Amino acid sequence: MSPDLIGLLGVIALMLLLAEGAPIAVALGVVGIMGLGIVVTPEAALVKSGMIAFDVVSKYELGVLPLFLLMAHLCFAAGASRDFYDSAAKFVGHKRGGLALASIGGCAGFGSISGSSLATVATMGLVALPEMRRANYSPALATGALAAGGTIGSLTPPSAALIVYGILAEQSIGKLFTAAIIPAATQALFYMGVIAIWCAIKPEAGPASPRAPWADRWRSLTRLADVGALVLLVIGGIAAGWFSPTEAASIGAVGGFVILALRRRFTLAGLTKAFADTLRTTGMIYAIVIAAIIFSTFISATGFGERVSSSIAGLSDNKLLVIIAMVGILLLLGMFLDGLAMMTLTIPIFLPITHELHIDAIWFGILMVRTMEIGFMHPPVGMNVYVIHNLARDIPLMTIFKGIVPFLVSDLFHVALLIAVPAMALFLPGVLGA
Amino acid sequence: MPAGEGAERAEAPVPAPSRIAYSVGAAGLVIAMAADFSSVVARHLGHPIHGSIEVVQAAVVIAISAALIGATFASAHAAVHVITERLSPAVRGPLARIASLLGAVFFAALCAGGLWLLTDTLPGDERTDLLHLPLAPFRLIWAASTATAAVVFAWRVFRPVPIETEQAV
Repeated sequence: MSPDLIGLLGVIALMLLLAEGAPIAVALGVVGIMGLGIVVTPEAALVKSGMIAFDVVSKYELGVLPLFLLMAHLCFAAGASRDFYDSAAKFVGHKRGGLALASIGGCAGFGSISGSSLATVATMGLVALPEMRRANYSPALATGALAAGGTIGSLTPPSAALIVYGILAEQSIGKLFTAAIIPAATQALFYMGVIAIWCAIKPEAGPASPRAPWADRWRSLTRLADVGALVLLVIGGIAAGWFSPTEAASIGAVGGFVILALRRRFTLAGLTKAFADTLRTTGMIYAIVIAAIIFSTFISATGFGERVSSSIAGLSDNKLLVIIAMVGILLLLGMFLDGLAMMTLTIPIFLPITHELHIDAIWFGILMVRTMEIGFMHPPVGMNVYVIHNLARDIPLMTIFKGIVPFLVSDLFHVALLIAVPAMALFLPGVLGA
Repeated sequence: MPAGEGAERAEAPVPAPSRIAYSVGAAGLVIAMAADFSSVVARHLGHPIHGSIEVVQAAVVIAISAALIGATFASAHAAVHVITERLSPAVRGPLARIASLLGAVFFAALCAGGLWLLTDTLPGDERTDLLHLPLAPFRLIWAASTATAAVVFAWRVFRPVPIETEQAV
């Protein structure tokens, strides 16, 4: 059997195991180790896997992940989850569609501490959905805005998806964070544009709420000040080169403890929960990263990745067409696979293409995570939709899916813009030298 | 990725091994955080601390080893349930057992590879560059963590966890 064929069978086996319900780490790891055992020798496969695993857990740069997660969970324990939404709602809630606009702002703000789409949509859904329903918002607009807004969490630094991409693609996490700032901000603006157009066409979809007095508005901003300052310090510090991403994560975690103390929420129960949640998520992500690197080593050893890369790169001399083909494949895979599985499967194949065509790997990382986010919204996986549906069982799934269509259209425009104007991602890292 | 306040699952009693793992992991995280934070502050004050990176690395190995045990006990390993959730419980049960068996195989293989490297590197007394911390104990901690994960998965071949409690993505 040729190594190429073994690689192809490995990819098929991986898909079957994922469909079978095996944990993503287990599916990647079993196929990777067994595949390496066939291509090289079983002894070499074991030693190589052991080596990869210890390299991953002892790598200083990867310490960024658990420490950023700790920062996020300490901020949750401090009760900071709804502050971004509350503040945005007080400033724009009196406008038509204002609460939906506030939910996008809340998602962007919350995403900057959570770094996760599911966490963002679940938390913002709990906070914003009841308020929008009380204000007689159209269920499609309310749920669509939240399902779409949640995806901003995947791109907003410090994003777990960008950290995983940085690890797997061996790219600077600091540069990735800096590169994500403009795309995440413009994504939020695109969604706000969709809401404005929706409410201009159908004013009854997002009725205006009573205007909040200025005193309330300033009070809400004051409440946000501590977490906002921490986020600015962490992301600004990385962008300005004051500290590395791992150091920034440590500063963020220390800041989380300070906020917890300032808000008088420094309780044993809160701390225990924050640490337990951080460690559970860390264990899950590290297992996937280790397994993904083993799988990637197997794919490289078979030459299958290179063969597929050459085939895709050889489709055309036109770099743009190749990029569009890769985005198309990512969107297609996003219909069946979750973001992490998709990323770990495609990075070993797509990264050589980016090298061959001289595509910037930082820009490609932003494009990949941006495309991956879309998978959180569209069926059949569309996890954000199911999270929202769980929060409001009386709203039919079809209503939620109808609600996300305008946001999906804006996503496609946004991805097209990111492809057409790579400077959206590359400008800030270039200027700041992050 | 963190599950926010809104994504909380119903709080179940935490088994003793998980509690121990969380306590050890929390200590590792706090040490890593404190070492890195002190290093940044000291550097900006003009007094760089040498070797802080090695302390962070050692603490992170302990934290990750504990995290793997915590995630495995809590069935927090992400899986794709798009297909399996549409199957009858009679079909799902055997599939879950197969998944657990594969999990046991994977972590046992990682453990075997880790121990192999440990025995290979033991005679050389492998140490870090600046603080000369011995690496063997950390390799052993990691191998013990993967062995624990393998045992937990093997246990679930016989006593599967209800699919609803697993972390679906």
